[in-house]
Amino acid sequence: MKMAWRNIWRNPRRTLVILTAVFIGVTSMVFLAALMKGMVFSMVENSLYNLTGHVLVRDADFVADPTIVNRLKGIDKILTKVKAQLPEGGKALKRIRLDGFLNTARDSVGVNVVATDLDAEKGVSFIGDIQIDGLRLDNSDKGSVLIGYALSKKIGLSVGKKFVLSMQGTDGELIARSFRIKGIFHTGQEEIEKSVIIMPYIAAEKMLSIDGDGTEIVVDIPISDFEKDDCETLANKINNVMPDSIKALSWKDVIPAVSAYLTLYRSFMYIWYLIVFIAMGFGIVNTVLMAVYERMREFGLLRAMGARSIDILRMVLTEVCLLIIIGLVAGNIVAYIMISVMSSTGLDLSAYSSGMDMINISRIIYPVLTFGDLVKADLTVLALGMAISFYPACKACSFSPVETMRNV
Amino acid sequence: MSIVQVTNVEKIYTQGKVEVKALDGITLSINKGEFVALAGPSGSGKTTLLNIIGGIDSPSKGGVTVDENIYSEMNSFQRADFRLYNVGFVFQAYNLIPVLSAVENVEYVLKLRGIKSKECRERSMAILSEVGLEDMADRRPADLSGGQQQRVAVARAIVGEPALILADEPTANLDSETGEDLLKLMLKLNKEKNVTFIFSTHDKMVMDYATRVIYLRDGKIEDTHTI
Ligand SMILES: Nc1ncnc2c1ncn2[C@@H]1O[C@H](COP(=O)(O)OP(=O)(O)OP(=O)(O)O)[C@@H](O)[C@H]1O
Ligand SMILES: [Mg+2]
Repeated sequence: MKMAWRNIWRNPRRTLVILTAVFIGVTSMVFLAALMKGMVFSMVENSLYNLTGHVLVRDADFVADPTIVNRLKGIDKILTKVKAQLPEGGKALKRIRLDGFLNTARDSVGVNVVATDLDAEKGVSFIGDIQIDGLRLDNSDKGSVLIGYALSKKIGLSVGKKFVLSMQGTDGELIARSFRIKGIFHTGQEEIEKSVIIMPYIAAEKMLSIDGDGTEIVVDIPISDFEKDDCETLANKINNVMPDSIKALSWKDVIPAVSAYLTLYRSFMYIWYLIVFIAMGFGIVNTVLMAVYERMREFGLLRAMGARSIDILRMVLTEVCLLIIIGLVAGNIVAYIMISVMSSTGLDLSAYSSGMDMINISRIIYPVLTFGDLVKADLTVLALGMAISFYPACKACSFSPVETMRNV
Repeated sequence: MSIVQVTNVEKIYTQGKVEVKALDGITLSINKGEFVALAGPSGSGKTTLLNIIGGIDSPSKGGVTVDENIYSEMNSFQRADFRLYNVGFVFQAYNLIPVLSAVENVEYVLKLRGIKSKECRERSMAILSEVGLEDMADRRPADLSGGQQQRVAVARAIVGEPALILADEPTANLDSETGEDLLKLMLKLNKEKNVTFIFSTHDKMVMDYATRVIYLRDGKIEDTHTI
């Protein structure tokens, strides 16, 4: 051990090469992983913030046929039952969410009507914190709505103007009613601004004459790591206390594309780890091999003295292990500092934001570092680093004393 | 009582297509406590013979028995272990591990045997003072003179109290006075501890210390002098 430690410092330049390789390798692994994770998590979060929530409870048939026929009858009772299953800090609220048509003198546009308790949406969906031009919507207001900025441009209606909204009623007939635009909201996401119309819960309830009914219950729970299965667990728990006609789905099932992204990100991460590792591995193997050849005579001498191959193997591996651990510690510290700094300031990507909107990534990325990721990266580097060092270590064992002590 | 028994040993090295007969039918027997010199011109096979007796090289033909152990019946692992407990080596140069101090070099052999650090240190310091280097114990090889380095090497060879010490031209890199001192030291240890020494040399003066001189030429024993 002492010998290994001293051997490391025999050729400081070479030691520095290995340390740098490990350091850069692990820093970039950890840092990029954290950044990627931050990006993917922000994408997931934003997608869920677009009304999906973490768990969505709906009528079992609503998924295939999202019409008023498949609504949740007596939604308040169901809501109470759902709330009983929530973990600490969880929230649940009811919505009526159905498609309809917005008619003006010139246009007829398909829209998605979201009727909800605007205050309760805070922290659950974007509705809770949208910027509004005009007036805020009062929860008891039965005749007013908010429309998106993009939609207002498209149909040419501004605050205060009226339009007719038509939706299918429980009997299959169209129901039309006129609403006043109380405000125009901005989300930065064109897709949402173009299609969503927001109104108080009571307004839709009255218009459609479905007192006491709704179409969905959205659940929001505190989540630190989207890769974990908290939402599935909760969905299962809710399903267990509900009749078969009511179905709770986790966001992964509601928007499978987003969860596919998560899988993709994970595979990408492994590829990234592999690439960094190969580069780092070459650096380590080459330098250790050089060091070993330089000390050929010494290994021969040790063999002559009666050292077994395993003693020499252990010696070389101890040296490599020490080097890798030093590199890892340094790399972890630097990566941790970089990530800490960035998780308060964030990495501003607004310059590229036009492309980012498409895939629901925020303009500012906050890297996410979990302890598990750090440990995973470190163990990968250490284990693989030691594994590939077996090659130079075995070389060191193979030197025969006779060959190496000749030509003195 | 014979400690080393070499019977009809041949060693052929092949370098490309050329075969070199380094040893050609060597038979000899060395008794416990002898102080034997191997003499002979360059290329006569001294190093090869020492390596074969030490078990770090193996003969092409013939057999070697050391302390009733037959090398050809051991695997390389057993031979390493055998060396660790029974054979000490001193080479012409580069005997020491540069990153270890003198005393650490000496105790390395004991540590390989799994002896406790405290005992290793005590025994190594004792041997170092026997070779007159107790003040240099903490110096690295680079800070020792050539003669001092060889003394450390002798101390390391003997610290584990092996039956046999093999020294390949231990004085070749030393001036004659230092070389003579080293020989005197080896002889003293040979007498005190009854350890068998076999060393090779070109030097007439060094041979004079030996109880027996074996002359090699072209891989054969040319002559033997017993004093
Ligand atoms: N590994 C080897 N491969 C090929 N030939 C070898 C090898 N080792 C020794 N030889 C040859 O065997 C012969 C004997 O060599 P050896 O080193 O035993 O002689 P020596 O008496 O020790 O010589 P010197 O006084 O120069 O040390 C020489 O001709 C040498 O070239
Ligand atoms: Mg020689």
